[in-house]
Amino acid sequence: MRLKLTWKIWLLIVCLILSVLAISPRLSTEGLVVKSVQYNSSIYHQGLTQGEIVKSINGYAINSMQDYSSAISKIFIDNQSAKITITTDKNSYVYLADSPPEITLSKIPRTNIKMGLDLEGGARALVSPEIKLNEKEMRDLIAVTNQRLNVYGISDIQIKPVTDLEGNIFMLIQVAGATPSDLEELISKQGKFDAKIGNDTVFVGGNKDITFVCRDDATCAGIEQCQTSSDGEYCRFSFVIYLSEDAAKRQANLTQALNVNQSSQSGGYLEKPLDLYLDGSLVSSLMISSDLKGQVATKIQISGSGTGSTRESAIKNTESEMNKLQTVLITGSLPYKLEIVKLDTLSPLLGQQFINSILLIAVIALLAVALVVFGRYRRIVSSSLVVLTCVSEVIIILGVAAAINWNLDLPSIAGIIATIGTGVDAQIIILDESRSKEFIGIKEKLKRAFFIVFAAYATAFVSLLPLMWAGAGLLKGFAITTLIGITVGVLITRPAFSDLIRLTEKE
Amino acid sequence: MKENLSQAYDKYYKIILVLPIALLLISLGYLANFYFVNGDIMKKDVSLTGGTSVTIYDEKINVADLEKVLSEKLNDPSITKLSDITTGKTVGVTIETQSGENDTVTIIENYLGYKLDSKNSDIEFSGSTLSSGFYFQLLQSILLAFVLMSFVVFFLFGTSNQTKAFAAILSFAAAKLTFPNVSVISVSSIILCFAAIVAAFYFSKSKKEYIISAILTILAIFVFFFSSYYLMIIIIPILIIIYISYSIPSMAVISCAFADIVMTLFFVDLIGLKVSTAGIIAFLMLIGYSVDSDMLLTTRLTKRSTGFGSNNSRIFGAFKTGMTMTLTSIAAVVIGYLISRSFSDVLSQIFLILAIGLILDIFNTWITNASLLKWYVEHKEKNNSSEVIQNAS
Repeated sequence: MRLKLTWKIWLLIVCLILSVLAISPRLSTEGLVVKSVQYNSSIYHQGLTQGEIVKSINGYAINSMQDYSSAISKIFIDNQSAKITITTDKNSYVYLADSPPEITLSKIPRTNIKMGLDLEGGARALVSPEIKLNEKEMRDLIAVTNQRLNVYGISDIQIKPVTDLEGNIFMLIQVAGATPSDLEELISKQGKFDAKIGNDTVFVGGNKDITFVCRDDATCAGIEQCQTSSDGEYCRFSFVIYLSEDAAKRQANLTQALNVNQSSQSGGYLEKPLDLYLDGSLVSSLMISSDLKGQVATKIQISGSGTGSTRESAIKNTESEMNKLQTVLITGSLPYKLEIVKLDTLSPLLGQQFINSILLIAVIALLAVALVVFGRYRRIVSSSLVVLTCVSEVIIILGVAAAINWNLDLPSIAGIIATIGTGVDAQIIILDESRSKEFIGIKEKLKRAFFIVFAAYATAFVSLLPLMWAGAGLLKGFAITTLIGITVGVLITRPAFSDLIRLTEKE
Repeated sequence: MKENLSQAYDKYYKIILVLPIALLLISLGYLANFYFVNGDIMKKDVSLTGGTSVTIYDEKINVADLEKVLSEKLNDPSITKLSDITTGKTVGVTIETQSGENDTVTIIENYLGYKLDSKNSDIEFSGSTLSSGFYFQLLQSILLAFVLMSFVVFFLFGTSNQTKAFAAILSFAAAKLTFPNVSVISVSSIILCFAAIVAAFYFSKSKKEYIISAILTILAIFVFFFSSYYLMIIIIPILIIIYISYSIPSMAVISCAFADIVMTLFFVDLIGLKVSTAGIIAFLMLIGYSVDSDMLLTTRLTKRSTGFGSNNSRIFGAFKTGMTMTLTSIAAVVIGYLISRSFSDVLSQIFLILAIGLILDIFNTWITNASLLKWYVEHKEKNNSSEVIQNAS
């Protein structure tokens, strides 16, 4: 038997291959992927970033969590500082450390399909500001929150604005994997910012002490100079902030008591720096210029630096340091309270079991569908074609989801189930129309079938649209997978199915 | 045998319409009563009312004891057991309550004697303002889905371009009203609505049609400038009048979908299910499933040349196809329900509501819709033949 494949069938085959490539299942994986890097840790400053794949540490190959912990225990066996060489897929990082690198690692996922929080575990918070924000304020709030969570070492986070049908704007925060128990506090805390000299507070965040932070304005904020130093490139930034009268006086009183640091070559700085704390942890230390001693100055130049292996990366790092510092100062001045309107923390424990159970449902349900179809038509070929088409629809949906980086959550899976349901319906219509006893050609019959299939598609499509936005987008996954599914069905799999039916019916 | 059945069907098809009408009335009456007693048409779980849901993964919890302790301290708690599907062993419990998150967690921790963390538990909290907003938006989504679905059906099965343009103006205006803040939809609704207005005037032939076009245009402009959701109260009745007056087959499809949803909700309330956000999705899915077999039937009965087969044989042909479709869906969702019941409230509720809805859909498609369509087609045939006789004389 030789089947002549039509272009529609070829299209299906090509789509299937592309989908499998997009999902790209890996049979063996080497290394561990970096899930998060603690902000301001030594390894952070070396430039290791999230998403890199750690291949080895000090020559020990890293392929599992056990490999990692045994390597770390061998390196730090005598509790002394050691030279660490981390080799990743992108780079090699060498530095001295007295504690293990502040990173979290996890196994490289076997496929490119990403699971949503409700399957992978993690935390999700929907945060609503007390007052209605505009887009720019929301962007600032997100930058601030990102910064704040970074300061606490939570890096594997996603923060984005979401709006709902009523036009309310929310901030959706998602943290994957295990989550800290005090997440709620971290998010809802308004942020306590202190600038101290020694143990004395000079000024705190909030518009009481800081009246203005210069930002996005080249005349009062920017990178000043870059130079080459012994261990790479080095750049300085500075920007201006304005203090209130009271804060400026406090600063004058405190600096009056300080001596000028004589050991410094230029002699330009006071003996104690100005330390910036966010919610109790040190973010940055600024040297105080000696001419500020005892002065009531409301305008303060805040400066700092960034380094990098090349000039370009040094500028980039310096800009990001400046941005962080500005954010920190504004953080304290966040003028609105935040309310957590929804907070879910989900255990990652059951994730795999859950996915297995869903697969079980899919397999048994497909078998049941095949049985009903077989009971009706008594033809193995037709039943298996129905199953084949369903399976290919699911593969293509997963392929598209992987390609667009969509996180498959529970609503998305419900959407895939809905698609299979309507997909089977459409195939049965095609089967029945093609077998109708009317005296017209099979082409005409299939055309009729497609009228019904398209009509069903159009109604399903329009009835799903509202879900894209309703309820702050928490159910968007359902709409997305279903829309992908029914569109793939009507454009790719069902035309191919009808050609396959035509080929088999001919015999 | 087949002959007899066909004759019996010819004789009784109008009378059996009493069954769905009676069930629809009972359902509507029950829901109205339910609304007066409970303040809403369905019982909602914490995802829609606001509250806390805690799932603890601990095999040793004594459910009866826990229930006793918690019902004294928490606001209306409900407890369900989770089990492993392969071994049947209890793996944990889910506690739902309208109490706040901190109180709930503290009370449970006190009972258990250990701390809940992200390793031994899932904690989901929804604020009540968010949840009620969520609920309202989901209901809006269902209503809009219904409006758009009806328009598509009318567009496919309706007869005159003029009335299709009228329905389009109103449906897109409804979309604009539902999405005042989503710019993509707002803008495209306005553009489509404008196109529909142009079409409405283009197809107008009589003075009456021009007047209706003008009135609908004014209504649409009103919608664009005063996006008050209450304008739906004007839009929806006009749409219903258009559908009833100009396309009985479309109205039959739309009524079936409506009956499916109302009756399903009746049974959902009857078994005391607390509906979650996922449950509302299931109702939305039901619109899609329910319309499939109705459209099949309508196409077979009204869109085909009259050359082949009697009305009854066409209905029977469509019945065979439609039943296969619905049975495959029922088989899949029942299996889904049985398996997911033990491990996921979200999925099992979707499957349960779909199963109820699909069974009711058999009833509504093959009694309600089939009878209405047969009535309509035979009435039309009679009219056509009397016209022929008139012309001949």
